[in-house]
Amino acid sequence: MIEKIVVAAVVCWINFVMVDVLIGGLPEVPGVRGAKHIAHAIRNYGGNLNGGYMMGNIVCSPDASAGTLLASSCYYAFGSWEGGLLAATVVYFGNRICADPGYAGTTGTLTTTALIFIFSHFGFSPANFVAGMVLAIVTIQGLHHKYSSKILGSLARKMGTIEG
Amino acid sequence: MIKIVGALAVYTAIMAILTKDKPRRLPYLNAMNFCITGVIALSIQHPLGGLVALTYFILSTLESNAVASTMDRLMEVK
Repeated sequence: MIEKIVVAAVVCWINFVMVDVLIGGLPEVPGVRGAKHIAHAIRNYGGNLNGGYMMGNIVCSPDASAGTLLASSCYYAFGSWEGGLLAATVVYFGNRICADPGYAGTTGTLTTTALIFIFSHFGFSPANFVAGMVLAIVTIQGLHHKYSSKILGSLARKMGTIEG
Repeated sequence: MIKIVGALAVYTAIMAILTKDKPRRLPYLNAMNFCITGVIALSIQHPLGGLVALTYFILSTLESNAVASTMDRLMEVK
């Protein structure tokens, strides 16, 4: 069981970081007002500003990480991919309520639904993805802000979404 | 599985209390909300359980958004 959770955590981590960086452009600008404040606090702590923007955006608006968790939760609750579609709709309205113009959350929810559908043929349950996504977000938001923001910043730079 | 997620929720809650820097508490609280959503979703396998998890998470994000933007506004006033 543990190994399935770890594999699901790695899949979720790659999924939400890729969607957030490439489609959402979260490390470039603080999409909502509070994100800037959190990013500056992380920079003062010794972290990277662009990584901080991404972490602030994750806090302030339902982005791909929220989409990944809610898609797996609803897939588990409904027992089919239809749950993922419901989650995508709710995440879309959640984005609009939080005054976020992006589509990272909705895209992340749909990609996760597709991924869980594929992995369900290899013996993975959506519950593994719920626990895996929780593990993945704790590595970003809950372990060490200095190092996680630096990792996110350098990843965004390597993918070419930010300069410098 | 639910015990692992619950243990992570307790860990992030303790980290949020121990952190002195106020804006940096919010990422810990956000991770805690992820954990609690996971606990809600895993505790009951029923469509209504999924709806509760969805509602909890979206509204908790709205709350974090409000707290962070209020902090930003207070900084501007100062």
